Amino acid sequence: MFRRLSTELALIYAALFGAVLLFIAGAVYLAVENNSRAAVQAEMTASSAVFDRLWKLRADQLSQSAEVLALDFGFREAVATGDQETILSALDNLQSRADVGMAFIVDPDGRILSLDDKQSAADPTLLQALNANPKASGVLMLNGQPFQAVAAPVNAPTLIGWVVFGQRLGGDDLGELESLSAIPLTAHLYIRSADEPWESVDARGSTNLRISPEELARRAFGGTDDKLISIPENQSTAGVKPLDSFGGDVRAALVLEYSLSVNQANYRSMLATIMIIGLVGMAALIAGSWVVSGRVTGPISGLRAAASRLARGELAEVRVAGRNEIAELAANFNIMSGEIAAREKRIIHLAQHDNETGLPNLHALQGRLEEIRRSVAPVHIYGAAIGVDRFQHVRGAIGHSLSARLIAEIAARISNSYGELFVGRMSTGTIGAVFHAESEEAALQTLSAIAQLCSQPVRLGEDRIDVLVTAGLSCDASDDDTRLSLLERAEVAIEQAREKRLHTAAFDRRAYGDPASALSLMGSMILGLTRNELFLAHQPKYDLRRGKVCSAEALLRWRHPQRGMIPPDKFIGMAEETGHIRPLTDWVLDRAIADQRRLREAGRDMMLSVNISGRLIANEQFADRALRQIRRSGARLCFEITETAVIDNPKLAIDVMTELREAGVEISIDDYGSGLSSLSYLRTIPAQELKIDKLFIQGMANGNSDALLVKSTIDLAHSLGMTVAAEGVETAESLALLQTMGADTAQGYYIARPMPIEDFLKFDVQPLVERAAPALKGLA
Amino acid sequence: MGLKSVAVACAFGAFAAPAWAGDLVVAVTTPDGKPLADAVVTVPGSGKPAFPWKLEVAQKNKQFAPFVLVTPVGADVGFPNLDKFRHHVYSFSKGNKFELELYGREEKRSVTFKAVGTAAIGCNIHDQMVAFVRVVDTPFAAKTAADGLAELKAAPDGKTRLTVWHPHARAKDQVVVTDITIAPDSTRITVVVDVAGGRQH
Repeated sequence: MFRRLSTELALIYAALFGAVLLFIAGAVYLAVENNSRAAVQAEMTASSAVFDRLWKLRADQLSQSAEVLALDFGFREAVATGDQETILSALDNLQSRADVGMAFIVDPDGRILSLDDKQSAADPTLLQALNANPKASGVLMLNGQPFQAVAAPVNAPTLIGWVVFGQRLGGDDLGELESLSAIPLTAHLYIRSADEPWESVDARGSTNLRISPEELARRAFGGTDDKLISIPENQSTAGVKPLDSFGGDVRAALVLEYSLSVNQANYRSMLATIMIIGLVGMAALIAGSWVVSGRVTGPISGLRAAASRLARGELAEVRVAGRNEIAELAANFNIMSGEIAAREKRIIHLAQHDNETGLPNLHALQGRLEEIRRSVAPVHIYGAAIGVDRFQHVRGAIGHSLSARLIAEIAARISNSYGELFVGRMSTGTIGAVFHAESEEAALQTLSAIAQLCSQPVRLGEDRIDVLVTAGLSCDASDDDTRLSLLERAEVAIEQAREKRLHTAAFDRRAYGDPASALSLMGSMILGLTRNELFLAHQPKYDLRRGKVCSAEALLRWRHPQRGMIPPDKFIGMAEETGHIRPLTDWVLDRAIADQRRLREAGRDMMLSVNISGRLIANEQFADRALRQIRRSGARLCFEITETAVIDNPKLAIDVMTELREAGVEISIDDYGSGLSSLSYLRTIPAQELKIDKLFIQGMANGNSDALLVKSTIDLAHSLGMTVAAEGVETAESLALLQTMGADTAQGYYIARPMPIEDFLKFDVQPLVERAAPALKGLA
Repeated sequence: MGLKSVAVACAFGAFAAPAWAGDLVVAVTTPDGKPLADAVVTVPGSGKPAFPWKLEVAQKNKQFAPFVLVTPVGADVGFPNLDKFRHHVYSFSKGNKFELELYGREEKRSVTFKAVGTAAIGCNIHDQMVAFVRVVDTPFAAKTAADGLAELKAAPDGKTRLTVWHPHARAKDQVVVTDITIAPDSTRITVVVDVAGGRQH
């Protein structure tokens, strides 16, 4: 919610404080409200009592004055005798003495005698009131004016009239009442005679009190106890108090209005004070909690920043201040950070170094190469690979840890003499180095010197170990259409050097060829089978004894649409390793059977030899299928098998061969003499033919010991009951020599090249025989 | 103003026979039939009145006694003070206005009432003291007793006018006038007078 803890804390505290403040303000408001309502009520009651008192006081005063007059003997005499002048003078006298606003006499017939208009007509209402109560007291309407009036009967000694004294009810009285009140009241007088509308008077001669007549009547005279009326328009409360009526239909009420707004103004200022105190307090609280939480969160923010630095892998250290939990956390964080840094260092070291030797590893070498590339042109950058010859043997002899020490020793030797080289271990037996040199020549020179240096015997404790190394070089600028890196090319260069029996060689792109394409060769081959890219080429075998061609060897050929002719040794070896040899051989057999049929149909029935991989001869499924095919077609085939094939699983191989033989398949031992020929195996293999390797046949021409070997092999084979075939016959001399040696068949370019079945069908055998015959004759 | 007076006249044995005089008994009641005392009944007549009661209004125990006194016009009425303190007797009534200033115990003053009518007598010191003197110009006048009866002996018979006065009567001049016929032997008349009871002193 909040990005900063201090903000959150400050806001939460402020909200809590604000809530408490609001609560307090509400409570104060309610208390004040209640209090003020009660106070208003009390004050209304008090004011009402004051008014009562005032009212009574004045009534008493008037009454006293009236009675004094009414009891005056002279006055009574004047009234009794109708002495108007005397009466009026007495009234005048009393009026001025007693400060009476209004005074008049009423005779028993209701006629009024007053100072103002002497004698006036009878007032029946007044008379009725006086008859009802001779000492009437209360509000009296006279000529539309309200008075507080009292009456006193004049007896002489019987009733001869009334003295009525009155005081005008007006603003002054109300003003006096207002001034006597402890709270700011507005007093209104409401008067109504008979059914006329209510009239109101107040201290200022006007009224803004808004009470409906019904409401006023109900409150004042309806017998309800609640004399308080709320007047929302004026924001005030009014108390209603009925007043005594002098008599008749006059009704009067006093309304005391108390403006709540005036009252509220008082506590509004109090509330304002509370609010100001609250706001100041809240500001102080926010500032305070900000500061306090800042002190708490400051270190936490520091930790947070340090943690993100740590996450980015930077060095992160926090300042530890104080001794509280956060300080402890910071201290622990520092320890953790330090340990992470140390661990990271170790991990980086492990990632960059070889575990066994402590030398930089291939990854480190590549890193160094990247560094060099930033400052040196590629043409001057060289990668070197220094491989210990026959390392597997060395390691087998001295063990892993010593051989690792050996590598480390050699690397140290290089580093000591050639400090500018960055040396590391590329693979178990290979040391890599990156360096820069002016030219390839210079680089080769350096590398040559290094190879020489490294080929010195190494002393490991007690042991002295003779070491030979071969070094490969590659330049960063060479056209890199291989997928190899600089150091990998250097490593390949080692192999290339070893092939050339050199100690040092630069990477030879041309010799490297395209090994990557070999990886896709098998897929292409299987595809090629279906597209007829592969075919059989037949090379005639010449029967030296009969002087004619009576058999041929079917050789597999692959004409690739893009890459042209692909030599069999390029794909057959791989097919053997990948297991594709089985379908390939199945295909070859089928094809050979088909070709033999065509030859037979052309009148050239002859045995066809097929090369069978040693790995397949022990494969029973293959053998079963081959036998099935051969039996079905009645083909005459010879399986040429290299002698080494038997070595892996002699018993099974010999069983299969025996079975093949029983099925009419001839067995020929191929390439005899090229491998590790064993006479004991030769004896056990149920072969009819022994095929001498072409290296021996070609070697015979040079007149060395090969001729002797051939002769003795032929004799050996014959003695074992086998015929002898010779391949690689390229000259007339070889042919003649083989015949004298007693060989049975000859095969080679001198006789005929391998040819597709179409050519072989048209092949004229006669010239061959003619060509062979003179050679033989010449010898004979 | 005031309630209407109701007068009911009944003639007993009313017949037209030449007679010199007859006795008249007047019974005065309030409307609710109660006998009304202190009512003065008169019928016109000539001759010098000679009333059997003492013509005086004594003051005793802060009261006048009697409350109502019937007196012939021009007669002296005595006002003896029987109390231990002084009284100040007065009347403002028209024609009979007088004032007997403070006089003490055993002292007797007299006033001559010259005008026919009613004189309300008061005491200036004691407001509660009220008495009425009914001044008449006929020998045929009497005051009802507590039983409300008044007898006029030997009143001239024939048609005449009966006047009943009472200080509290609700009537003009507190007078109820009734035309009656007095029989030669005896006549009994009942007159109803409404009184304002609340006004009595």
